[in-house]
Amino acid sequence: MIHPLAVSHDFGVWVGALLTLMVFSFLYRDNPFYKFAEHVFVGVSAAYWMVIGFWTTLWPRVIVPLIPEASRIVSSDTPLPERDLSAVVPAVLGLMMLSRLVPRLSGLARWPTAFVLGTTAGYAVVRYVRSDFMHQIQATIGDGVLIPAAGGGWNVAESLAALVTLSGTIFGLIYFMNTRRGGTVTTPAARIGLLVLMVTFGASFGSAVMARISLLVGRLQELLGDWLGLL
Amino acid sequence: MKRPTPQILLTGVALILVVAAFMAPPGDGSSGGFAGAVTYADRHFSSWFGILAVFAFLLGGASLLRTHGRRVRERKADWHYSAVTLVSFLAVLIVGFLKLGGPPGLTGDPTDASSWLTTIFDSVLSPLHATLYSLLAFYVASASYRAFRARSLETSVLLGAALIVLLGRIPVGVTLFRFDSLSLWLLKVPNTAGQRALMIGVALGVVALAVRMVLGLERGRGGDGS
Amino acid sequence: MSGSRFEALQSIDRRWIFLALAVAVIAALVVQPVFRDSPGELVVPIFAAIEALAPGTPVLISLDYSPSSAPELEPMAAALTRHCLIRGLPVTYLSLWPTGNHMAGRIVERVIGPEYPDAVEGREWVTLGFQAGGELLVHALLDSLGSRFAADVRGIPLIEIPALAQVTGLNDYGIVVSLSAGTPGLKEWVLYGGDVGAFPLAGGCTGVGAPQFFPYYPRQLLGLMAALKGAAEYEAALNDDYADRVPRVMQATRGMGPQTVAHLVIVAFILLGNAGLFIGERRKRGRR
Repeated sequence: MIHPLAVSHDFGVWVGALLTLMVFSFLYRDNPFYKFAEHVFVGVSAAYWMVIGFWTTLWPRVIVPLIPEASRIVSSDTPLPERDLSAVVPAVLGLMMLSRLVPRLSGLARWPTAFVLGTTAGYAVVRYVRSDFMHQIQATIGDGVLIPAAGGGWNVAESLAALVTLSGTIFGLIYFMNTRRGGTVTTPAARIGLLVLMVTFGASFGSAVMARISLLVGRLQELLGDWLGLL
Repeated sequence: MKRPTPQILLTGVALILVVAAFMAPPGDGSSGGFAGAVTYADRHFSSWFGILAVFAFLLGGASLLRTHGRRVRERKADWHYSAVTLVSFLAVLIVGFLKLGGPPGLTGDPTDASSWLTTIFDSVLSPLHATLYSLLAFYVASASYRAFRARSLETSVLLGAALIVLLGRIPVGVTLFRFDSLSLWLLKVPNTAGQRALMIGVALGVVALAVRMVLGLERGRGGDGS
Repeated sequence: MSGSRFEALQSIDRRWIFLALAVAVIAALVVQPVFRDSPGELVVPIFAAIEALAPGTPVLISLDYSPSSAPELEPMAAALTRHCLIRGLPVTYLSLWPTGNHMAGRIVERVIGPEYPDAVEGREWVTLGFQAGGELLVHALLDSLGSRFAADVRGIPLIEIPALAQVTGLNDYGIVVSLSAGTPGLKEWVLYGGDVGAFPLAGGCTGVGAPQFFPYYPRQLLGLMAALKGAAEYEAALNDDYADRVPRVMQATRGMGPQTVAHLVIVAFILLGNAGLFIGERRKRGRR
């Protein structure tokens, strides 16, 4: 039973609970309550990101380095930091990015885009090759497939696992190479690779189901506990 | 003479950073000359990248304001909802930029427990965020029922793996069927093999894409400036 | 049973599935069955690594998630925080996600405040919070925290914070744990942090992301808390070693009851759909 005294008296909890119910109403079908909640979410999220981005990053790393006097607005007792003109570069690139909003100037936005893509490419190449290519190959074949047991002889379970990992990885790669457009498998080895990938996708799906259920449990826990005081 | 294009910037930045990865590992105090320049670029480019990410937030917000503002002005279908978005957006913007509530004025932390932004986060953003994602639990349950049918060898393997993980990750499956060790083995061995094949493929794809961008062969993604 | 009934088994209206799932989860939440877990193979190394740190060694927890994934990852952050505070290891919270400041605030409000009232901000823990940059933030922090964070969220300069007295860059941490709901998150910590730096890296992740991190274990990741079960296992490890200093039933362990019931409902529906398919096909073959 819901005890009237156990129900939350906090206005914020009620707002959260009502918005939650509005979103859940979508399970029956789309309706104005859901649409209202969805549009609140869009507005609040966008503004939240802007505010957080501004105060955590833009303010200390662009505005204060360029205009040290600005730091007096948020703190009157700290010494003025030194001016750092290198912040001009991201400030200018950032303003060029915002030029997208003005159709006549939108071509300028290609420069910050090029910078972002160049930075991403430059950093990613080496890191992906190291961590997701070389380290993975090393981990797959590094110890071989015959794993010695502590007391002598071979550790059968570990060796079998190493063998399945090695062959599964190779068959998986063969699947990518021996598959025609449209998913037609061309060799028996590729078919085995497909089965390995099916295990991977099955495990991923099972794990994803678990994740989604956890979110529902968490949400209902807060609804029944914080709002109705049932838990 | 040909005008410089954004492609030059892209290529230059990428090449400097690749060189930096080999020449100036973080913590290297080298300075001066070419090595110093590369270290300087490495440190600053990563910082500027973060700053541009915030400009992207600003661009997103401005774009939202423009799109929904137009819908309201022109009284397009469902413009009332756009008005809801605009009001929510502007309200949070004012609360956040002026750091309303909480520690004294602009000197405070906007995310302090007593700030209005935190109240909005706790009562509006957090419940909406969490609930929108928790809706997926229902759809994933329905999708499992509809999609997991053992119609062929491949789909049977898919179904078997999913069932083992589903049962192996809960106490009942552990107690009744000892599915925990099977589930862990499945994740550690065949799943790892499949994931590695995917990772190696993706890593090669990332390298290929990066090289194409650096060489200006990747059109339409900013590589040529378009 | 007629053939149409078997077909009906294969096409139950999704709203019945929704209802069954909701009823099952709510019933389990009200009844609150508690299933005790035990620390698993991937969680033990993280617990052991934190146990092995000398008191005073700083620990970094990167809260790379938002409220949408908090039910899975917040219990991990809470359990790690409890462990560190009990062991006297100063915790640094930072985040690659804009919601990180508030997620850290929730840990302070829900765990540190009520359970460790003597803990002092700046000494037992410090929140650096969010900085934009994702993976490149990790890259920059390797060298120096000060390159991106001039102060903590309260505005106190890093140099004045006792919890960071021993810290210059990431390599000075006894262990770094990324609790990750997606990108940027644990993968970026592996690629730009763990594989480059000299600090032990461990992770916690949502169920959605868990399978993709197994290839990194154990060479590139010290251990992995995967989904709510991973969190429940860490709680079990805490209960085993510090029963008198942590709550008897913590958040993830409490969640595993409804989780179990929901899994059983979904498995039942999957089996029902397949039974309909199997019997229906056999009947068809029989008729031929």
